[in-house]
Amino acid sequence: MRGGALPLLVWALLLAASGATNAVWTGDPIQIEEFAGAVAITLATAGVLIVRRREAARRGEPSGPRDPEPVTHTSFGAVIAAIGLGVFVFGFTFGHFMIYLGMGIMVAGFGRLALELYHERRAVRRREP
Amino acid sequence: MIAISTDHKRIALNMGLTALGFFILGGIFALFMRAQLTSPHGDLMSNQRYDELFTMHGSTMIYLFVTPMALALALYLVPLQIGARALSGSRVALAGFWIYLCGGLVMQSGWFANTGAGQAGWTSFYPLSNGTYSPGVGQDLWVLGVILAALGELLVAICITMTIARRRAPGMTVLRMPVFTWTSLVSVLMVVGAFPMLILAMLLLFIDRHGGHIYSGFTGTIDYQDLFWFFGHPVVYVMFFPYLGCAAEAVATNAHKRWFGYKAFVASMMTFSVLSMSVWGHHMFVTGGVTNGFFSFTSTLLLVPAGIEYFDLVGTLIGGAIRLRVSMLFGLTFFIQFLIGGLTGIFVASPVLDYNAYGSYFIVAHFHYTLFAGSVFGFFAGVYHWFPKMTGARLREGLGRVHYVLLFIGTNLTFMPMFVLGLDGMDRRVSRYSQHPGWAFLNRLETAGAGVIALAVAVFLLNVLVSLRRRELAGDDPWSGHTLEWATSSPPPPLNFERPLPPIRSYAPLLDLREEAEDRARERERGAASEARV
Repeated sequence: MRGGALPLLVWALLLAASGATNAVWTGDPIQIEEFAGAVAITLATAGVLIVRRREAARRGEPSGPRDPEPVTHTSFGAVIAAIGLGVFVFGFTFGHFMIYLGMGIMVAGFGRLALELYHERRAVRRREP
Repeated sequence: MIAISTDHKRIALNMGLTALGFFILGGIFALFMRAQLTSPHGDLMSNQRYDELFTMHGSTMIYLFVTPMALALALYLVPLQIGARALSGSRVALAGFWIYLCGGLVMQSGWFANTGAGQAGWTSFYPLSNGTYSPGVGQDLWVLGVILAALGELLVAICITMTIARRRAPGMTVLRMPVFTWTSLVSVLMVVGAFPMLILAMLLLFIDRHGGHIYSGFTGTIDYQDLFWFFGHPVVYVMFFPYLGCAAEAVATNAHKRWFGYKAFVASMMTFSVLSMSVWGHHMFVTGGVTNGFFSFTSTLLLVPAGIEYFDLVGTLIGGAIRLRVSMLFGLTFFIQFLIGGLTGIFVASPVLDYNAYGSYFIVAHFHYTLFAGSVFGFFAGVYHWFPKMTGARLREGLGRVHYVLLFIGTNLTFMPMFVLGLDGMDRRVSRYSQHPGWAFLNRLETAGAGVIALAVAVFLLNVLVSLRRRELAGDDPWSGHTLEWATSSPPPPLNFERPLPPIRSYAPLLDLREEAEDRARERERGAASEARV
């Protein structure tokens, strides 16, 4: 299975079967929607795995030459964005100025993240034959 | 650099240490509650303060300790066990840890609000949790804290799922993944499936509290419970499966045997996790808003996969060369004590019995036997088993045994009398109780037990301190481990493996190597003996 999505698909299938039993037995719309939501999220995750390039072969050696791959050691941008989200959410209770402050911090965090990714891609491109 | 590192081991250690801090905080809340209940009319605190304490105790333990600690263990160990160099989406996992930390701080900041912290229970049932019955900033902070913590944990879970799917080493097929990795995989799948419902339920509750009228009327109340328990029951298993994996790895390694019935175990894990996504309505039997027959049926079905795990445990122990190290003691006790929680769970899976037990101390005893007497023992089995891998030093076995004995006594002294009190009719979530014969004595026993648990945790922390300051070097593989994490240095280097990985032909590649070496040695001996005879 491409992308290693097999366990997710099997799990989603079993969950769908359980949801179908629930639908037949109870007919409760909110419960059916909950099952459908969980199955959809799992299938979406499996879908991402199927679409994206797989990074390691499951059996034997990885086939063919592999592209250079960046290794991330630190990320200041991810931390700033996360703290920004925390401040933003806290602002809903503490004071509206914190909503704006949080949004500002988040924008700074995402900006920094974009910069990190840009430098990473440049470094990879320089290494490519 | 430690705080912004994207190394999965560093993020996991940060998350684990944060969760441990919240565990101690939640434990302090429990001690205050037990102090209040020492006598029937305790006057240590007001009813409102007691409500805040049991709300924050449950919330801290569930949202901020047991679940994130399970994820932290998976975050540290899964990439090592599957032979991955790094985590998929490590930046997302780092952000997830920080969002979870922010969530914890936001939730606890409620203590500084003039209306006090959240006080509607860890479930915050509607309409108790609406703006009319739980007014004030404290409950709002609780809701926002839960949203952030759940979002952070969801992001970490997605990264673990991606890593298992995409970064397994050559040869590491799905049916060669170690037992702990399998238990982690089903847990993170449940997080991915169930946590969005919690985030949705809490967002709607926040809007409702601010005049949105989302959950109005009887249907709205039931809808809230449906949404909440769709998360609330699976999370119990998210808090169980990884610790089951810890206990299973500790037992198999200390029995010097492969985990028995691997494929049946994997199948049982898949069905167990799917079933546990389908049983949430048993929390709602008394509401009259769910089809009791369906949820009673699925809840009772849980016995089958659970039985397979116990069968596998017994199969692993039979014929094993058993070493009763501290990790083994915790691992075995996990299975025994969880059995008490599991069997009492089957009682309350029957609606007729649940009508009687609902809202009583019987329920409190049941879930503490699954989550504390079960999961926390599994957690300590994992800590004693993998501490040498994480730090390069062994924990002291002597102090570990003291820790184990105290925790075993404290746990049973605290939670066993709750069954008796519950059957006798004592309600949960009350700060004062009637002068019923025997109740005060049993409550005093429980308070003493809580003190013993606190002492056990203090001994554990002392053990960690002593073991880190006066190191007994562990080496790469102190227990003759079975899985790939023992094939690298202790602690592992930044990209996990500096030496080539051993061939992966089963879920216990290092055990394969040892068995092959033993076979070769035996053949050589046989050859030498036959030559001598000639």
